[in-house]
Amino acid sequence: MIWTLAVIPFALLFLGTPIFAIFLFGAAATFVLFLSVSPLALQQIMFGGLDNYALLAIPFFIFAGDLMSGTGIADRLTAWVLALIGRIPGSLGVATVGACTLIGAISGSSTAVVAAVAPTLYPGLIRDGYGTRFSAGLVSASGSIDILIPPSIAMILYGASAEQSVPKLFAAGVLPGLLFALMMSAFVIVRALSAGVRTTARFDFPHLVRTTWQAIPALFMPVFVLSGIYLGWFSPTEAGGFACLYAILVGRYVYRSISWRDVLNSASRSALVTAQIMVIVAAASLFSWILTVNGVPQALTSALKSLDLAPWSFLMAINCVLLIVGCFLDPTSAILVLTPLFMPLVKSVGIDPIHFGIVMTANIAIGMFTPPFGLNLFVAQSVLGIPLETLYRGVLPFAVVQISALMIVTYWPALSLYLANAV
Amino acid sequence: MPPAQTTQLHDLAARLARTAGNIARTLLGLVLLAMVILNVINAAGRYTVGAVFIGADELLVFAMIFMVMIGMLIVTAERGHIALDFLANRLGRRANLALGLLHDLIILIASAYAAVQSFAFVARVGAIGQTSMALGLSMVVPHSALALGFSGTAVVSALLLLRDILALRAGSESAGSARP
Repeated sequence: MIWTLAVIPFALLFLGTPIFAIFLFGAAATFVLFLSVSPLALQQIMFGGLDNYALLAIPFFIFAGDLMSGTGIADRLTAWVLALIGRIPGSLGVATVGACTLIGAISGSSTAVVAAVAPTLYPGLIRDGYGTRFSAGLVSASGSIDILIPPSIAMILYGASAEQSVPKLFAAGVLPGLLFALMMSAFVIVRALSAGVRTTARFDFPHLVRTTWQAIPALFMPVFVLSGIYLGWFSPTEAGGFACLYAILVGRYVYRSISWRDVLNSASRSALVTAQIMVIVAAASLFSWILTVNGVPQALTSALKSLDLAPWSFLMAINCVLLIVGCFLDPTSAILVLTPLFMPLVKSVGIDPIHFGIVMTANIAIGMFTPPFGLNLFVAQSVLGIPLETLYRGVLPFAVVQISALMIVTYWPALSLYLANAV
Repeated sequence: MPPAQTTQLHDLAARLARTAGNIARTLLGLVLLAMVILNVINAAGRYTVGAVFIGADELLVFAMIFMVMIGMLIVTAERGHIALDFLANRLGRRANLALGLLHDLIILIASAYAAVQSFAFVARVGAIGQTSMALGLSMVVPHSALALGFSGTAVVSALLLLRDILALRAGSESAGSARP
């Protein structure tokens, strides 16, 4: 069975086979060759994997993010952050981190953030003298912060998979997300000072007022969505629907930057992106069910228990596994396959599942830009036309910064749980 | 069949596929928009008039499942599935074609197997007469989404496989004729 559940899937993964097909093929082969369970279970498990109300938030937040990019809201938010930061050293670099964080509070997709921010800010970064490698690394790595900032598709998937509250996960992600952003910004400032990067921006109050006025409708969206969830007005899924409606109204009637045809095109695009993600959800549900019925999580739990690890060393081991997995697997698959495997272990060593969700999400966020397979790298390569080798070298310092932030998130549970417990 | 007629047939098939793809894309967009509207009306109705549409959540989830399954067909046809295409980006044209052939084959086998099991499951659900909890809808309807999605994906990947084999053959013939 190790062939159908491990060797062949890994071989197919490296050969670039679509991920949903890898899971489905591995599961089908296991059914045919090894399992005595009726193969009709295949349909039931996959249907069950999709038949989940919480997952409805995914198409809605993808659609809201796509609408936001199309309406030019990302550009307005970027201009606002830059006006706010003024002439601090490395202002454009810090603005890149800030814009990604802010847009992350609107969009649920890290790759969408890179696609929206990179073309706008990258030429300026080069002009200011940050260098190709550093600039490309910065836009790829900053986009990953989106995964920690609510609304986050990764958190919705973890919540559905681990049966944890999505609003609590959203709340738990805020402070770690801000920590990631702050540490990235500090690194950019240090680098700007040491490399003598010139600061082209300046603080101009009338300009700040003007950009704030233009950005208010965009800034109001995360406030509306998140306060709606935490004040109990609506569920995260309903919040996703309101976010779409809000983006359509702002784009159509406030900024007047999209037509009804654009709205329909955006909906079609979002539906296809949803299909790309959700077929993996269905197939990964089946794959992880097979792992579970074959006792893989239980075997892992007893193996780990026999090592008698303290929670801190357990978390360190999990971080290492997740960082390695994150380099090779996309976030959806990593969360859906690994969560059922890790949950019994997490509970057995007494780690809070919400805190663990944030640790897992932070690892996945880093995996979004770490070589060789970080998805943000491919997006940056596509929108900026930079060789992959340059991106690989460019993201390495940012990986060190974010791993340092990950250590703080891992060993300081209160950072994640403070806001989550207040919900 | 003369080559000119084959080309015409090929063009017609490509045009038909493009039109069908565009119609399906528009349909998916409309479904997502309808889902957003239903979701908002339902949530707003709860506060404004204290009424909700019974079964709205169920309907939304079933609509999402259909959207995903129809979307899977288009994504398969456009070779747009999420994959680690690191290797593919570094290979030559012929090696890439061969790799595409392998991917088509894996998708074909996996989807065909899933489709067979899905149709068998749908038949069983139909025989039992199971209905959904809120809408009272026959569960044959939502379960059919997977049966249709996987069987359609199997057909699409079979066509892609055929196209790749022809392209590979044409490539080797032209390479053979180019040799001295």
